[in-house]
Amino acid sequence: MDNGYYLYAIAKEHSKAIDFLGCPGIDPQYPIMSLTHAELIAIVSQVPLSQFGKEALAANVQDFTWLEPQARAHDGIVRQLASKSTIIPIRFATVYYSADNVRQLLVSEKDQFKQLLDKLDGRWEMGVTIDFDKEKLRSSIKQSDSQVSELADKIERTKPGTAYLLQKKLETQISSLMDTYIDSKVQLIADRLSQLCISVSQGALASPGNEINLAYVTIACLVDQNKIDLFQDEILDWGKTYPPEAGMTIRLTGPWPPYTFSSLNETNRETVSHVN
Amino acid sequence: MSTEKKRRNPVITNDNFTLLDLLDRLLYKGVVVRGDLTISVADVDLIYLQLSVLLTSVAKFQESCASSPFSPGIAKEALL
Repeated sequence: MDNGYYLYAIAKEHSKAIDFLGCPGIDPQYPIMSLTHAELIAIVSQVPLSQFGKEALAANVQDFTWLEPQARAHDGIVRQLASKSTIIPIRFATVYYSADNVRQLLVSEKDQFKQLLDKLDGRWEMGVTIDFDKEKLRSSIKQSDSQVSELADKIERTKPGTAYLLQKKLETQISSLMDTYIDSKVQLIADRLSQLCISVSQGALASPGNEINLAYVTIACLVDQNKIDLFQDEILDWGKTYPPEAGMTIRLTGPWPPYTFSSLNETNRETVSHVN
Repeated sequence: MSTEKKRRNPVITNDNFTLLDLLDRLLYKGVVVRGDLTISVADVDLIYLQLSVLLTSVAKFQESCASSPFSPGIAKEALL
C-alpha cells in the first residue's frame, strides 16, 4: 500500500523547526521532513496508508493500545518543534495523499497561516481544568439551600406515591441549582483568567463517564512564554481561596503547544461535545 | 521555585496530564487544517465514548479495591 504525508506543524521558512529534519516521525521508519512553499514550511513525515488510510484510521483510533502511543508521539514531536520556533501545531492524524496537496495548502491558506504565526509567536497554551464533584455539590446544596431542605423534609413526611413525585421535583431543583453554581464558578474563573493572559478559549462542560460524578470544563489560556511562571503562581495562590469541600478542584496542565489557538477562523470551542 | 507552593495547595494540583487532557487537545473538532484524511467527528465521539467506559471502569476498580493494599493510583496510571 502507498504512503501518505502526516502533517505536524506549519512554520515560517528558515525557522529553527528544521533542526528536527531527519529525526524519526510518528512512524519511526520515516524521517521528519519539510515541504516549502510561499515562504512557509510544512513539517511532515510519511506514514503508511495501511495504518493511516481512511478505513484503517477509523478502526485504529478505536483501539487505545494503538491510539495512546500515537497521540503521545504526535505531541512529543510537536512539542519539540514548538520548543525551537514558533509553529502552528496541527491536530492528530491530519494526513495528505501527496506532497503536492500539502504545498497546495500552504499556498491557499498563506495569509491566514502568517497571521496566526505572528499571533502565536513566543506563546504557549496553559490548560486550566475545573473538575466538579457532583456528589459533593449535591449534598452541599441539600444542606445549604433552604427550599431544597424543606422539600426533603416534606418528602419524609408524605405517602409513598406523593413522595415519588416530590422526589422528582427535588432532583430537578437540585440539578438546576447545581448548573447555576457550576456556570457561575466557571464564568468567574474565565473572567479572572482573561485578565492574566493573551486570550482564553472556554470548552463545553463535559463528563468523562456516565456513572462517575465528575464534570469538567477546560479553559485554554494563551500565555507569553516569559510569563508562564507568573501565570502558574497566580493561579496557585488564587486557588487557595477555595476550600476543598466546595466540590471543585482546579487542575493546571501545560505548557502545551498552542493547539487550541490554532484554528484558522476564530471560532469558539463550543463544538466540543463529549459524551455526557 | 513554586514547586513547594504546589505541594502545599489542597485545591490546585499540577499533575502530569492524562490521556484525556491530551486527546481533548489533539482531537478538537474545530477546523484547524483539513487533511485529505482526518478523524471524522463520528470517530471522535466514539473515542470519547470508549474513553468514558475506560474511565468508568477505572473508577469502579478504584472503588472496589479502595481497602486493598493495591494502589489505585498505579492502576489508573497503567490504564491511562
